[in-house]
Amino acid sequence: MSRILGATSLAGGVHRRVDVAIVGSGAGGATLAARLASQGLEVALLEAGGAHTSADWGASDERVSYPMLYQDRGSRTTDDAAITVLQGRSLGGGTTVNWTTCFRTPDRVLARWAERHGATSWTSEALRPHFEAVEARLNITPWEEGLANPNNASLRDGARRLGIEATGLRRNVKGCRNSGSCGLGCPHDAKMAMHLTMIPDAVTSGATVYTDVAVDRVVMEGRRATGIRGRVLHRGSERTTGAEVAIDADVVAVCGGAINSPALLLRSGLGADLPEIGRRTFLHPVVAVTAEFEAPVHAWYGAPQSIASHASIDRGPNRVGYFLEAAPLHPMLAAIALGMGGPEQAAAMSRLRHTTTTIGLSMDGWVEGDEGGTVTVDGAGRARLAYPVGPLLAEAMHAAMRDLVSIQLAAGALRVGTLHVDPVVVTDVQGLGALDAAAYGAHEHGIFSAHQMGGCRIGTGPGDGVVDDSLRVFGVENLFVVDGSVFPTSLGVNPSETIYAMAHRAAAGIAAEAG
Amino acid sequence: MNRRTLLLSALAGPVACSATFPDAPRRLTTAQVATLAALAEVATGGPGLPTASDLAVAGRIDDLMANCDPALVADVGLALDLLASPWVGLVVTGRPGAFVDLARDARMEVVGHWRRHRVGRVRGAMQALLGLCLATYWGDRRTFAYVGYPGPMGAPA
Repeated sequence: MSRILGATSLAGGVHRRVDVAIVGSGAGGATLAARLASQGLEVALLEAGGAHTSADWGASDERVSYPMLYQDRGSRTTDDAAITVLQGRSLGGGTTVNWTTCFRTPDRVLARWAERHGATSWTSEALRPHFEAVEARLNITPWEEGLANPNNASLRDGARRLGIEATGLRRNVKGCRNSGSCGLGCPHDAKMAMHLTMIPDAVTSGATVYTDVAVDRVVMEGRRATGIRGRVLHRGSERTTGAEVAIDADVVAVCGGAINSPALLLRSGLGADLPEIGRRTFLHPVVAVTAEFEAPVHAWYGAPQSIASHASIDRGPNRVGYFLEAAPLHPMLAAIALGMGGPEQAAAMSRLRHTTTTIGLSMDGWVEGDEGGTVTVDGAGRARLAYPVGPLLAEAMHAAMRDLVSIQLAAGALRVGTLHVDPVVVTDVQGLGALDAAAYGAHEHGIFSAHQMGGCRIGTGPGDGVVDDSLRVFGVENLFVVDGSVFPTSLGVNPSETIYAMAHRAAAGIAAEAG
Repeated sequence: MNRRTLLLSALAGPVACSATFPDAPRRLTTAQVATLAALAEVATGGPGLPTASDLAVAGRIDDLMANCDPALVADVGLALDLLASPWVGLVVTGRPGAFVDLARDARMEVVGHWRRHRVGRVRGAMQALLGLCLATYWGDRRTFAYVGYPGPMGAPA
């Protein structure tokens, strides 16, 4: 029987055997499940979050969506609390809440992976049919520049006035109504997220989906994985119902995303033989500026992202590159990001409808000396992430903020402010020097992450990676990792399409192992 | 002080508030709730806005605590106890007194001192407490008119 089963259906726990157990229902796990199930394999797809749909989040109220659809109920941060980590957790994983921006993997990234990290088969040519397949299924198509909301238009217009490249981008939507609610769950089911595409495909082909199931460990016997063990959770919580999950499988695929996938491998006792688990975890650390315009902006409506600039993605061998995009600005998240309190906060909130937010995302893990963060597990098995913001990243954050401020001024902003504890406010280009006097880095200003990568990276062996070129865990014949955690570096573009395509391609090898 | 758990409460708060259990034990102490209310009062509100007490910010956060991991309650309580300490007020303002007893300006001074503290994690702790109050307050629909936010563009009928 093909079903999607949640906590209320799993009172007696789960005890069964399948061909492939897939842990995580996001971009990697759902795509893999659809491919494997279509080949006749018996697939169990497990998700710690709930099987939420637009019927649950309704009109996408921030107060409902963040606790329902994000890891740690929207509260995930690095250990020192310097970086707020937004990461999806529900059926469909991050695809339920991402902002729909899609890029193919840049050629130079694939070339670097092949040259330095042993990912020799991941060429753009090899990936092409897989990109084409997922683009067709998910309706990944260019978003008309003319549809850019004023928030994105400020990035486009300001950049172009300064001679900085800024282009439209592609989105995985069908029938988008520009509600601006992508990050809160699409109220119109216009986003081609996994819970509306690949997961129904998998179920139609016979897969069983278990939601509200926290997987504690992969069961190992010698050099083989024999299945997974976990617990049923009360829907939308971390509290266990007491019901146990035991699924034996010929193949196990770990697809929990960066942070969760390395944590699962560590809980499964693989850290001793694979010391690189958790290392080189990347976040595309985000800094932001807010800019006030005379005319209303209403940055809470419209496609959250429709313009991007990669003009500064390659800044040479010793400087971290960055790219620029826009971000939606709903009141609750804006209030936390501004974080001032008092009359200044009230004044800023009163101008929110006239305010744009643009962001700079650093391409971490690319230049020598910038190694990203490290995932570990605490005594209770919970994932922890240490992420130092070193001088290379701090310099990139400074440069990105300077670019963003310049662009917003060129777009006609009355004033532009940073998210420092004491915001640097610039009203004209003569004031840009004030940015150079400010401090940059952890606890100096707001830092966020919406793209988590690495931690189970592809390598040439256990000394420099966790999985091989086929995404098989080193030393374990039938255990694979299929998500963004296998990236040897960050991408410098939004990562979802790379994960879709990687999973689509990896399925053949995994099916062969299961067969 | 663990900002992670504080942010959890900040974001989970409104949901918990929508399913409040009035008979559940309050796990913040009365003194801690009073300190939270005093912080919320200076962190939010303004001309044309409801006050934090109008929106029962501290009470709603306290309601949330009753449904949260005890470790979270301990973290929040620790931060609030520290903030409430008369010694903090003495060091920062030169006047002894618990946070709740300080005048509004003096309370603002304490908040500013924490936000600019030389130790990053202290800054983080205050940002977390502020985040708790700000998310609860500005996530309330009764502030949307002030912001000019019409609310989410609705789901299909």
